[in-house]
Amino acid sequence: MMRRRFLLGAAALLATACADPTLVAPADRSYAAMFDQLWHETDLTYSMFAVKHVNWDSVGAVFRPRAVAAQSDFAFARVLSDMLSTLHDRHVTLTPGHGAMPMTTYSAASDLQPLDFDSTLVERTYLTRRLSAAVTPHLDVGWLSPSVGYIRIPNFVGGGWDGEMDAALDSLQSASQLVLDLRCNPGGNYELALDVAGRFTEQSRDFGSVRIRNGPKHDDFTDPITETLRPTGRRKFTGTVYLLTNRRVFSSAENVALALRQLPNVIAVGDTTGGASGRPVTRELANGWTYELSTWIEYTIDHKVVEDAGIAPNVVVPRSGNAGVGKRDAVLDRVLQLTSGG
Amino acid sequence: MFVTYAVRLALVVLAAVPAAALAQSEPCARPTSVQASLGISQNDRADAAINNTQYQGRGPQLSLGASANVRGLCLEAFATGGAHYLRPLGGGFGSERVLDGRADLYLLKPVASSADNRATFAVGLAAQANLAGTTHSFADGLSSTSRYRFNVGSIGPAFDASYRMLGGRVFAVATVPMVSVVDHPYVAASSLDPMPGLRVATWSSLRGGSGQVGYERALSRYLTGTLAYQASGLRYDDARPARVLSQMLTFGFRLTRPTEHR
Repeated sequence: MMRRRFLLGAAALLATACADPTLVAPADRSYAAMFDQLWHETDLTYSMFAVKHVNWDSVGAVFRPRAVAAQSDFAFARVLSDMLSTLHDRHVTLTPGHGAMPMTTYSAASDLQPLDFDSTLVERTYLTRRLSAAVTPHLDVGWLSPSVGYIRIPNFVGGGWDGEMDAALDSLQSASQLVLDLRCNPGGNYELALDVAGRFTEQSRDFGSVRIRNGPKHDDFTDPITETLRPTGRRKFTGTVYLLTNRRVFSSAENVALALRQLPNVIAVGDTTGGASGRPVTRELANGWTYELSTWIEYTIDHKVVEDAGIAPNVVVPRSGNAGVGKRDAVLDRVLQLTSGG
Repeated sequence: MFVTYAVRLALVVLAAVPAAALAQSEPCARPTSVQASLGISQNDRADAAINNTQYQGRGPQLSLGASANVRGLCLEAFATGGAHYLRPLGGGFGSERVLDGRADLYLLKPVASSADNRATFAVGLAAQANLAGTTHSFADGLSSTSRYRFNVGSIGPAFDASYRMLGGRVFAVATVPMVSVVDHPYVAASSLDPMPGLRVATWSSLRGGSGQVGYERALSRYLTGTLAYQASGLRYDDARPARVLSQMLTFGFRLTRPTEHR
């Protein structure tokens, strides 16, 4: 009898272990429910309602009827994208389905101007020697003159390739001055970006701060968390660095600009950066669509909000109207003047 | 304040155990020993800091434990950890990789036993730490990932019962967290904010419990084989609620100190 009870108990335990317990209710995939989910998660997560002066309740009231009345997934995605575009934040995107392209919800006026930078023009016209792309596949490295090196960083996507900066600096070790070109760098991995920037300092330096959204109220934030640039890598460059920026430098690339501007040997040249600083996190809707929302507010070392304002250069080289790229690179020409003492 | 109150309450309970009951009970259900177990665990999680979907996965689990008799009290320590690959339930999306660990410390006092010492019962205090790090992979074209934490430290009452049968011993242990400290970042973990943001949670916002039932039988004079099933659940309610249910089936061995082997 006792043995039978024991075996029954063991069988009950095994049955329990093999069951699929339900911890949350199944997701509702109606347009109304998914709209409410997106609106609510944005309300709980997004960091810059105050910076952007957005009344999110009003936005929801305006867009909900349109979302509920949508006749197709495409139309529904359009409504969601339109709602998110009211945040005027480049880090806020909607990706309607696996394999779909993220829908950019916001473009500033400067985003619609023709590009004022052409990397091929630099390669064709300015670089006298180039390092093989096999050595530094994420960087364009070469010489502008016998004493001026050039490194362009197109983006900070991925991770673990900051060692390429050591290889680049190895090849430029006889340079007394260096041009670090961030123009049109859209950003990417924050940690990678600072690891790359750490090659230009021999001591830690605070360069800004962030406050991270940490509660359901729009003004729930952590205390300011100091951002610090720390020395990294086996190779350092501490000569004069000309840091090139333009309006299409965003996010992690702006962090690099913000950090390097604290160094006494760095001169920023070009135009103000784009001002997209929110550190996005990805969230999911019940149908698998994903969206990204900014989660922090970043401040300069003198407590000014980076979002929308960007990082201004030390030496401004104004755009030549709306003509786009000409036969010369005005920013690089100005830098070459500066390197020769002009 | 809550922690102080709970500790005081537990000490009062321990001190109030009738002497007559103690006289009849074994010092501890388990002798001074160390044990190691290996098994499989099933992890179910739904963390609103990530999304509103339940994820489930199974993986190997390693457990280590030790028991000691200290002046009539039973001190038991237990640690387990594992890695789980979790998939969504109910048609959800994405996947998760969870690394979790748990440490338990029990201080038990025998309060009753049968006349023949066949059955024993002990009550006491348990301190638990549950640590979990989740890497969530989103189902977007970029295969982007985010990292999350859900760490809980709790204290609460513990209960231990055992019954000799089938040539061995059936045992059951249960504990309920009364006061907890929770580290549950509101958004994805950031390298800029690595330190825990601890919040105190009482029964109104964190409910749960854990229990273990098992059977052990002596294999030799110093070696005992154990088979155990353990389940623990947590329900944490704040702006980002989280639900966790862990189940574990393990088989292992306990090495008993010669002088205390019974």
